[in-house]
Amino acid sequence: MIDKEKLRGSDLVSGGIFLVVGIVIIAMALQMPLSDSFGGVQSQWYVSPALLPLVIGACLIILSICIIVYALKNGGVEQFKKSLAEKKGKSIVTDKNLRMAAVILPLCTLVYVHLKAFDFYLTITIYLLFSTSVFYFEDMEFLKKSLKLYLVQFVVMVILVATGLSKTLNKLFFATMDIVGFIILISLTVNVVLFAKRSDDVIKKKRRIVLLISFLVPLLVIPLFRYALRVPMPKEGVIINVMSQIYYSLR
Amino acid sequence: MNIIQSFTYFFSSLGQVITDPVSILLLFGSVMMGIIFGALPGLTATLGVALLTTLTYGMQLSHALVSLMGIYVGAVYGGSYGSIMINIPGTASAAATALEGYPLSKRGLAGKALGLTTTASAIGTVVGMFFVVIFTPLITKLSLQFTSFEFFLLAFFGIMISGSISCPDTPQKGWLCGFFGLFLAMIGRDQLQTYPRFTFGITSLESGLETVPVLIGAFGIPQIIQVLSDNRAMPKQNKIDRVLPSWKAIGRNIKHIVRSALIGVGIGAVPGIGEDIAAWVSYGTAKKTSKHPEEFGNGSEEGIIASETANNSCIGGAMIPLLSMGIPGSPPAAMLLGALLLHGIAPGPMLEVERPGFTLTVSAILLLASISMWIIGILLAKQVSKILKVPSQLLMPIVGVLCIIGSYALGLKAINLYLMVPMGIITYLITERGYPIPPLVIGVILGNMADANLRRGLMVSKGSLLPFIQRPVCLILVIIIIFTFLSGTSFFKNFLSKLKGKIIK
Repeated sequence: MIDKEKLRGSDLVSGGIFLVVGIVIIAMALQMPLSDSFGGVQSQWYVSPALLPLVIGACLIILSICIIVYALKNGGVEQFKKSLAEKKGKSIVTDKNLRMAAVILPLCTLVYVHLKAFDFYLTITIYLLFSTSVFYFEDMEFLKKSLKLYLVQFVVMVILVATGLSKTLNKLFFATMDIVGFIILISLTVNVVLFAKRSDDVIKKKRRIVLLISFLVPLLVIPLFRYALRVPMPKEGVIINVMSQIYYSLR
Repeated sequence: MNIIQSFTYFFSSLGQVITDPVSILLLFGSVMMGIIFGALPGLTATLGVALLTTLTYGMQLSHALVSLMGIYVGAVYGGSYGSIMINIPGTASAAATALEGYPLSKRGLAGKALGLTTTASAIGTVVGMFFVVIFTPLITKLSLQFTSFEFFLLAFFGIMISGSISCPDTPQKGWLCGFFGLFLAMIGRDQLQTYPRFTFGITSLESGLETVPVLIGAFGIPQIIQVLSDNRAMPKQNKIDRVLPSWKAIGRNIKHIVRSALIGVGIGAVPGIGEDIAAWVSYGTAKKTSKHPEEFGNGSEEGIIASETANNSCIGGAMIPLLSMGIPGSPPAAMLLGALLLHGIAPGPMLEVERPGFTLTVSAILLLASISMWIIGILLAKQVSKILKVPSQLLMPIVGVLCIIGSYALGLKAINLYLMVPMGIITYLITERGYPIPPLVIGVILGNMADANLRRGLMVSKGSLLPFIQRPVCLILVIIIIFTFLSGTSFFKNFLSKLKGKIIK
C-alpha cells in the first residue's frame, strides 16, 4: 500500500473514479425495464432488473463522496498538488515502473495477443522465459534490453493479429504463426544466453535454471491439463499435436 | 438426524477416507501442497484453494472435498514457516506469528517455534471442527426460518462487516469495494427476468462473470505484480533444532489455546472476516491478558500460540455460515463456496435436506486434515522450510501460468482470461490505495443471491418495505447495518465521545 501521507491525495482520484462508475451504473440501470413490459411480462418497480443496480450505483456515489470529503478535510488537495509537483519534470521511466511494465506487458501479451495466435506450449514458454530471466538475473540493464526486445515483438504481433494477417498467413501454411512464435522464442533464448556468456558464474548458473524452468514447466503443466484432466488447450498447434501423437500412440 | 446417527455418520465418514488409499494420498498431498503454498510469501490460502479447484473439477466429490479442505488447512498453517524462518509471513494470517516466531528463531529455537505452531494449529483446527458439528445444524435450523428479506440483508451485512474490519484505511473504502463486487455480480442476464445487464452487447458476458476466474484474477495477479515489481530478496534462514514440542509447554499454555480457539471460531463465523483478523485479535487479547506482557515481541510462547491457534480454528468458524447459510466466513471459504458450486453442491439451509450428513463429512475431513497437518509439520518441517529458498522471481511466473491455465480450464472460455487480467490489475491498483479485497470477494459471491432475494421478497410483499422492520431478524440486521455505517462516520464518533463524556461526568 502507498504511504499513508500520500493516501488522501490518491483518494481524491480513486474516489472520483468510483463516483463516475456509480453515475454510469445508475445511467445504465435507468435504461433497463423499470415498471414497463419486458418479454411480454408487465413489470413492477420492485421486480425490475434495475432495482439492485440502482441501489449499488447510489451506494457507490454516496461512499465515493464520503471518501472525497474525508480526503478534502485531511489535506488531500495539498497532497495531490505535492505529488503532482514531485512527478513534474521527472521521467516516468523509473526502475520500479520498468519492473512493473516487465510484469504486466508479458501477462497482457500472453492473454490478448499470443493466446490465440501460437501453440499454447510456445505461448507459455515465451512468457516464462521472459519473466523468469528479467527478474531472476536481477540486472536492470538486462531488464531494459529485454523489455525493448519484447516491445518490438509485441508491436509486430499486434499488427499481425489486429490486421488479420496472422489468419491469412496460417491459411497459406497451417503452422506459419507457430514459426513466428518459434522465432520470438529463439530471439529471447539468444538474448538470455548472450547475456549470461558475458557475465559471471552466478549468472551462468541462473541461466541454466531459467532455461530449465521455461522449457520444462510447460512440458509438465500442459500434459497434466490436456491428458490427465482432459482440458483442450486454447490453441493446439505443432507442439501440442506432436505431444498428442506421442500420448495416443503410447496409450 | 439424532445424536447416535450423527456419531455413526461421522465415524463412517472418517472410516471411508481412512480406508480409501486414494483419499489418504490426496489428503496428505493436498495438505503438503497447502503448507508449501502458505509458506511461500505471496501465495495465499485463497489462491491455493482457487488453483486446486481447477484440478479437482474432474474428481469425484469426496476426493475433491478431501483435496480442497486439505489445502485450506495446510495453507493457513503453512504461513507460519515464512514468519518463523525468514520473518516474512507466508500469508497475512501469519503476520502476528512473525512478531514472536522470528525472535525465537534468531535465538536458535526455530524448531521449538515450529513445534508450537504445528500443535497449536492442529488443536485450533480440531476445536473449529467441533463447532462446525455443534453449531451448523443449529444455525441451519434458524436459517430455515429466514425469508428472502433476511438473506438479502445477510449479504449486505457481510459486506458492511467485512468492509469495516478488513479495511486498512477508512471503512468507507471497504464498503465501496463490497458494492463494487456486487456490481460485478450484476453483469449478465438476471435470474428472474433474464434481462441482460451491463453486457455491452457482448454475448459471452450474458452468462455472467464466472466467480472462480474472477477470484483467481483478484488474488493471483496482484500478488504476482507486487512480488515481482518489489524485487524483494529472501533473507537467510536460521537453523531448525528439535521440532516435536514438549508437552509441558502445551500443557502450561492450554488456557491460551482454548481462548484463542474460541476467538478464532467466533471471528470466522462472521461473514467475510478472515484468518488474519482472527490471528491479530487473538494475539492482542493474549498480550493484554498475559502475566508477562514484556515477553511479547521477544519470542513469547503465548503470542505464537494465540495467533496460530486462532487462525486455524477460524477455518471451522468460517465453515459454519458457509454450510448453514451459503455465506462464506472468510476469503478462502468464499473460494471453497465457488468450488462446491462447481461440483453441484449448493451450501445453505437446504444442504442437509439435499445431502444429509454433508456437514459431518466436512467435519470428518477437517479432523483428518488437522492430523495429517500435524504429522507433516512435525516430521517434515526441516524439508518444508527448504522451499523458502526457492526465489520468488522463479516461482511467481509459474504461478502466473497456473492462474491462466486454471482460469481457462474452468469454463474453456477465453473471455474468462480477458476479464481476469484487467480484474487483477484493477485489484492491484485499488489495494495499493488502501481498498481491501475481502469485501469485493463477498460482493461477487453474494451478488446474485442478494439480487434474487431482494426482488423475490418485494414480490411477495407487493413492494412493501415494511418486512425489513417487521421481521425480528431483519430488524436486528438493519440495526447492525445502520450502526456499522454510522460508526464509520466522524459525526457519529464525535456524538459517541460526547455521550461518553456526559456519562462519566
